[in-house]
Amino acid sequence: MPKTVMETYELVKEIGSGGGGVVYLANHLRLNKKVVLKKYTYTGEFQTNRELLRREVDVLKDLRHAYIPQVYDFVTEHGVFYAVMDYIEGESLEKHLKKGERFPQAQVIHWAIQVLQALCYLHSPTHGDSKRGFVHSDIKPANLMLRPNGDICLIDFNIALAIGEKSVIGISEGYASPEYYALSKDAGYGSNMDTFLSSANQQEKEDKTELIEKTELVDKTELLTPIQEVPQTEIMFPNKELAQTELLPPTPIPSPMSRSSSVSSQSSTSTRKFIIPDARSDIYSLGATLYHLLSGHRPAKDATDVVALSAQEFSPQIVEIIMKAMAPNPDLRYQTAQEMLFAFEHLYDNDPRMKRHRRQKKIAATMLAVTFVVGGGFTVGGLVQMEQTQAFLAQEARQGEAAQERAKMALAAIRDSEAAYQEGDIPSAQRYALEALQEENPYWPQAQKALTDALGVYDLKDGLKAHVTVELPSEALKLSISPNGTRIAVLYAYRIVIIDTETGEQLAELSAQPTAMAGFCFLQEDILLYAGEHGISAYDIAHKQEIWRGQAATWVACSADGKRVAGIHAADSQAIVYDSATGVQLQQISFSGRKQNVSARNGILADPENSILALNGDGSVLAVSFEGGGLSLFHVEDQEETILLQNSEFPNFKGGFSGSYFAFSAWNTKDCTFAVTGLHGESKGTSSSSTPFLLCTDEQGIYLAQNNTLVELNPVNGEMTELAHISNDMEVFFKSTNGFTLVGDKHGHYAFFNDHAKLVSEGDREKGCELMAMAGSYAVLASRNTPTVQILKIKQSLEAQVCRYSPDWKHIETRVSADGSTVMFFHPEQFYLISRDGNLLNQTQLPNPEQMYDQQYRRQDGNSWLEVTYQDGLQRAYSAKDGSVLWERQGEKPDESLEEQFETTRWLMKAPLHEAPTVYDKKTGQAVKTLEQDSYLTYVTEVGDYLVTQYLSGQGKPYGLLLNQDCETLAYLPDLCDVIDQALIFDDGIGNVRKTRIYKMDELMKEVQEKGTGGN
Amino acid sequence: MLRMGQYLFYIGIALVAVAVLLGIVSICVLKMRYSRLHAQLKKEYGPKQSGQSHMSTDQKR
Repeated sequence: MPKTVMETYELVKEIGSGGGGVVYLANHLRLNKKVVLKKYTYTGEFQTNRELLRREVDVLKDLRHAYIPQVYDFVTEHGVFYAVMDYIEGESLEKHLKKGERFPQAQVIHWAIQVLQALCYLHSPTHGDSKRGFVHSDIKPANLMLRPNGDICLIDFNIALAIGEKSVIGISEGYASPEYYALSKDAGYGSNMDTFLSSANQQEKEDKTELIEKTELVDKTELLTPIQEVPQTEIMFPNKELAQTELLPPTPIPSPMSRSSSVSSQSSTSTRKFIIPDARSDIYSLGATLYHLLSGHRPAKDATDVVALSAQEFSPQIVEIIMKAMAPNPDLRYQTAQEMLFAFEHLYDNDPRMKRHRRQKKIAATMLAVTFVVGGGFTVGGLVQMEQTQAFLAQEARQGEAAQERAKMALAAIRDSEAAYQEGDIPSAQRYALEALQEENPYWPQAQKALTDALGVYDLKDGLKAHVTVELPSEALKLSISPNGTRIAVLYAYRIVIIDTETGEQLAELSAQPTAMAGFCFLQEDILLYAGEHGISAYDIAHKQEIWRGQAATWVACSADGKRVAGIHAADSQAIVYDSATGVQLQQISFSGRKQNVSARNGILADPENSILALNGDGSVLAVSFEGGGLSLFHVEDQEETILLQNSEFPNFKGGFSGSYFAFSAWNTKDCTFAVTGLHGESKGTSSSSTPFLLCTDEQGIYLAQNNTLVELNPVNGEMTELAHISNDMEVFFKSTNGFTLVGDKHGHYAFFNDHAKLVSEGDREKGCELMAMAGSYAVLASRNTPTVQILKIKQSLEAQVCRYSPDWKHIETRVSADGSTVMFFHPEQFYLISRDGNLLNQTQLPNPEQMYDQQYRRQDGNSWLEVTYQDGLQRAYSAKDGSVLWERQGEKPDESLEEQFETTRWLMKAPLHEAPTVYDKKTGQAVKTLEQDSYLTYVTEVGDYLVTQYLSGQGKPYGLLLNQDCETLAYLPDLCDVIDQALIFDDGIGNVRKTRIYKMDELMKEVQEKGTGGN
Repeated sequence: MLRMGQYLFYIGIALVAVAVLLGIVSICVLKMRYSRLHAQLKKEYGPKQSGQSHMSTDQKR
């Protein structure tokens, strides 16, 4: 062994021998660095092309990789070629294998990756001046050095020195790819190879491969480029002792794409095959190497005989990689080292367990994401819906609030209407009721009732009906009505206001004497005589001007013929009589110092009605009362005085003239006297009492009221005719010229009587009605307690008349026959039958009224009759045509426990004898409503959209209620007695039977709207 | 009585809560499984490779 080479490398020791050479450990003398010198010597008949070897070394010098030893130099000394390379510390894996070491899979993988990285580098065409890649072609455990740090290094590229005279390819049995064995047997290789292999012992086969020839490393670029000529290499039989790798001759490249096909040369008689090793060959070799490292034994030479690694012992992925790398068909292997490296680098990712884990993760993530999204969607959707619901509810609430507000306002309007109706302010009552009907609200039925009440369309009874109300600036003190009732004059706070009774319009306002006793009266319909501020005056209402004015006066009086007027001033003791038309003073009557009675107070609070100043019919006699209890009659012409009372104990007087009579009452707190005298004071009659007489006179009569009865006194014979009778003591009354009487008590109750002293109507005024007047069709009520003046109007519904009857007929029910020709008034004791024109057809006393159980008026098939049932079951029918007995039969005793039942389309109404009637829904059987509590339901009639219920009140008065189909009350039907042919029949009980139809609400509202705020 | 919107909302909240809870649990379980699997794979395959190829000896040596 030479000591130094090129005087640079000091050979230290021989460390091995490779294919075609010896390997020395050397020391670089200058760099003091360990290197490896590989001496290439080929003996025998192999000759290398020196230039080719040189070219390869030059290429290898360009390799720079962590897992490939670097070639530093290529020297020649003494005809020996040396390649200078990196010293790789460690041992080859083969040696470890020989020791029986087994390597863990992870370690093998680690090495595989390193080898593949080296192969990637090696195979890539990036080396040298003309870029090209290389194929190792002899990867095996022996050529993998295990460094101390655990990394490997791929060695033995069979370069330089391996380049001998001839180029060979190495075959390492078990590691070489099958395309290396593609040489035809004819070439001898195969058979020789088989022979060789069969002759070698197994161990040798595993350990060594025979080096036959060393071959050129095939340039990768050359693989891609057709090579016209490739030096042929003869195949030599292996020299067992020298070679480790069996070398095969290279093959020409038939085409760029066919990299490992064996092609037979046509030009040669020999059947040599040419093999083109490529990257896939290295991959096969690597696969085989890994196979050996894992399994511990070399794989079979024939790739098809390779037994797959155990998937139980090794990871299936690794098995798969290695077996793919060792696929017999190169096209089925990894096509590049990059691919195989990728496979190793992505073991984790490609592991089925990892894949399953990822899949599970994905599934879990997807499901959770879906759940989250769905949940989020539901949440958002729910929120949106809640918001919408909130908005809807808010809107409904607003609408509900608005509806509530409307309902509240409607209710308030209804209340106002009812209050106005009670106070007699009909226009306001109608207006309020109309307000409540403008918009739909829950109180619609009540509003309808308020309107029908205000309009009085179902109140067909004659009587005084509230007409209009006037509000004065302050409380009324006195009032007077014109002869026809079209005007009233009211005194308040020293002002006299003249009002039109039809419209309530104020026609004039006059200044009166500054006293509550200021007198005034109507001379004519449009002429008012009044105690004006500046004197007694006559005022023309129509022309709004004063006609004449006299001297100052407090009280005034006018004759019944209207031709003379008299005036007295409180401060004076004389009366002045005037011509009413001209105001000319006709006479001045002296009272000899006497004055009329004036209250000790300032006159404001004095009762101006408790003195007498009156002229008789033609104004020829003047009656005057004086303070101190005096009362005298003065003849105007001759001023003759007739003293009726003088210094009496009576401070209060009332009285007046009626024709040729003078009537007066005088009273104090203890006594009262009443007297009628002639015009000259001759007594016609007197009476005394402890309670005052209320007295009123007119040219038609003398009217006297005491306690609760009003009578008309016939001064001739002293006969009294009752005009009115009320429950309480009368405080005031007024007798009109048309026969009607109006009375009032101190509780504000007033009653209106017809000329037969029959109560026609009555009412109440909360504030009282001590100021009262009536004329023509009008009446006026006022009180010193209120500034409200109520004007009423006499209403007569003559157009609705069905028939008249005697008000003396006692009856409790009235019925019209089916054909409308007769009307029957019946009572348990008797019945009356009249024709429509009022002729009495029959009057029958019914037998045994005390045994009577029930009376029912029947109408059927055009016939009508009164069916009477007795307690013993006897039934008798009386014809409604002529009152004759139709039939009589004995039936079962009536069951008193039975209740009356009435049916309509929707409802069943049960009317127990002593309980309030109940309404039941016919569909559900549920009780839905209770009807009038204190009245007896006598009949129910369904008329179109309405129900008409008839009752008898606790006082025995018949009335009805108009209901809608929901049994809500729409109208009160006073005196309702029958319903026939969709008409409502009313009996006022004082001789009038009337009828009307059912009014639709629309037409009533329209009527009110058209009238504006007018009354009936 | 709950309205439809409230039902939806509460169901949605419940689903989200379930998803979150299950997500947390799943993360923990999967992490545990991954750690276990990774350890097993590491035992089988060795440390996970970063996928870089070594082109130059300057970086490796």
